[in-house]
Amino acid sequence: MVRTRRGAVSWSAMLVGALAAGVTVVVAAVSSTSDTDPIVDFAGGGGLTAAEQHPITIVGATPAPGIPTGDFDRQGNPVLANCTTCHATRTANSVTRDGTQLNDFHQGLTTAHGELACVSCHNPDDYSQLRLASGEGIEFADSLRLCAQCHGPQFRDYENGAHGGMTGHWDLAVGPRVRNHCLACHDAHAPKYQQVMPVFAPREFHAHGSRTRAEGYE
Amino acid sequence: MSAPKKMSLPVLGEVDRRTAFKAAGATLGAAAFAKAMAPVVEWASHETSASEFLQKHFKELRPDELATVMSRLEDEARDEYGADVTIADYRPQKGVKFGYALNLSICIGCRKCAEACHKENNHDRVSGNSYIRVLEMDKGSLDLESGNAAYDHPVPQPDKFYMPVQCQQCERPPCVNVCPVEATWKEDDGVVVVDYNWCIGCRYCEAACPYHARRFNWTKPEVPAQEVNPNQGYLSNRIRPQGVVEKCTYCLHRTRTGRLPACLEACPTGARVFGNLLDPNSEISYVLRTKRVYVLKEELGTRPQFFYFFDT
Ligand code: HEC
Ligand code: HEC
Ligand code: HEC
Ligand code: HEC
Repeated sequence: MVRTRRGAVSWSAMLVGALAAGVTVVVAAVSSTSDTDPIVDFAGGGGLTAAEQHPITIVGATPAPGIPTGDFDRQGNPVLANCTTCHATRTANSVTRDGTQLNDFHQGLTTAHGELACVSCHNPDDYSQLRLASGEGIEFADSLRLCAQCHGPQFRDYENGAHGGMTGHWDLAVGPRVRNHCLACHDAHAPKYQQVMPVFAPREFHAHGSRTRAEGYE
Repeated sequence: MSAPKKMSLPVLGEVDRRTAFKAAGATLGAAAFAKAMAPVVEWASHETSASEFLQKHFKELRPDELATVMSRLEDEARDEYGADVTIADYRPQKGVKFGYALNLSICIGCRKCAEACHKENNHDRVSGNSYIRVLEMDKGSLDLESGNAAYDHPVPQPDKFYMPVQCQQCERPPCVNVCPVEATWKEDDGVVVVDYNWCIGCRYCEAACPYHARRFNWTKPEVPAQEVNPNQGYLSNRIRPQGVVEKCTYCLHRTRTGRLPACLEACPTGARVFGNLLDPNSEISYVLRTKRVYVLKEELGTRPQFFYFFDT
């Protein structure tokens, strides 16, 4: 599931995959169980208060990534090793910043995301977590906050519904909405959006010529 | 039947279908008239039922009359397409005016929007029709006429950008003004609609649209029964008869019930932003407030309600 996201798979397949894995974060229903405020504060919905609005659900985040061990469970899902399985006993290497520097493990990890060191995002004190520039450790499920800290303009657009797309209702007073997590579209390590083959090649142009003004009534 | 007050199109005042036919003939000359009307005449003689021909203009129908018309159309869909459909008259919502924006820095030209439109709006499967045409353009140019719609290679190409074009729902729609029978008009939420039962198929509107956004049904649309979208609007995605003009309605059968248009939901990149221009907190208002937006062919004064922008 995690791996398929890297390729040029269709978005709806990703969405379904994410839903099937139960990876959903209901933002509008985030109650302050942590001391921090919910980071996503959406606009829209005709000036209604939050209580009168339907929820916005964000799909496509990974709660806790793992490393495939090569085994599969009874349902056929890959068995994953926790990051801490190995890293609890290893001192983090704070200079690694490129997949090509990895020889002993994680070989083949592609990195094309600025010149960031791995530990600008991963928490060197606890690899089951990510870490903000402030030093605060955060769960993988909260990775949106990590992206947000370095990509203010895109995050502001995202919060305002102008980046990242949506499905469901424009009018939250009428019904709910589903949004994508940044990671549904951007690989954390090589975030550039992938090329795809276009679908639905136009046919009408051949059938009736280009239907332009020039064709008119001739 | 009295002669129309003005003889020149497109400024006919109060007319009915028959006087409009006459007026058009007077302007174009008999030969041109016959040619322009050929598809209509053919269609009218073969396909039109008597009750259809007698149908009053949509806007004049009483609610009970309209209900009768819609149930007749549902019956026709069952007879001709084998599909159980629901046709409803979705009305504009008070305090809502739709706006649509598209981020050209984000769109990759995958054409998923055009495909979604095709399915949602019950377009003819044979011609592969869609209200959206995606143009591949050279970076640095915004000239609609130089775009290429027939590209077939991985996208996005580094030196190109991609511009989906559909009805711009103009504030001053040139297509509406040229209609000799008032079969097309702009509604309160900004959507320009066509009454397919009133359209005579003269295609003046298609010619008048600077965005090539209108389509003509050359043939009776073919849609397999299992692919028919049964959720239909009288003024939007119900299966159109042969010989009439059709256009994007911002999926009014969805958007007038609070839902997002099909093309927006299908966009895998999140390039499309839709919402209520009258709500200052809406997503579309945010775009207009914070981005530098462009409209196509601004010089024509059509005042599109569809906006393009770049992330600079
Ligand atoms: C099977 C053992 C193993 C597991 C499980 C594992 N790692 Fe590693 N990891 C390593 C080894 C060994 C290295 C050092 C590779 C090198 O430098 O050649 C490494 C290196 C790294 C680095 C580079 C910085 C550093 O400290 O060397 C990061 C970041 C990292 N791992 C993150 C993770 C994350 C996140 C997970 C869980 C998704 C994970 N690892 C799971 C063994 C593991
Ligand atoms: C921009 C922040 C960022 C940087 C820099 C970064 N990571 Fe990650 N990494 C993440 C996030 C976020 C995830 C969770 C990905 C997901 O859920 O799809 C992740 C997941 C992982 C995983 C487990 C899933 C996988 O993709 O295999 C490993 C292993 C890993 N990172 C290693 C590294 C190593 C090694 C480096 C440096 C070469 C590195 N990361 C650099 C943010 C980052
Ligand atoms: C520590 C800061 C930092 C964090 C955290 C971070 N990024 Fe980046 N990101 C960068 C830098 C630096 C660049 C490179 C900008 C450039 O090359 O101009 C970049 C580039 C990008 C790009 C453009 C890539 C391209 O090649 O066009 C995307 C998309 C992106 N990041 C998404 C994300 C996402 C999603 C996350 C969260 C998982 C994230 N970033 C987290 C710093 C960060
Ligand atoms: C629905 C898919 C989608 C989602 C979700 C999404 N983006 Fe993007 N984003 C794109 C596309 C497409 C582009 C333009 C192509 C590219 O540069 O990769 C883009 C571009 C970017 C860029 C690069 C801008 C530039 O000028 O190069 C950044 C940074 C970015 N996104 C960050 C984010 C962050 C942060 C989030 C989550 C808050 C996010 N994106 C969510 C699709 C998405």
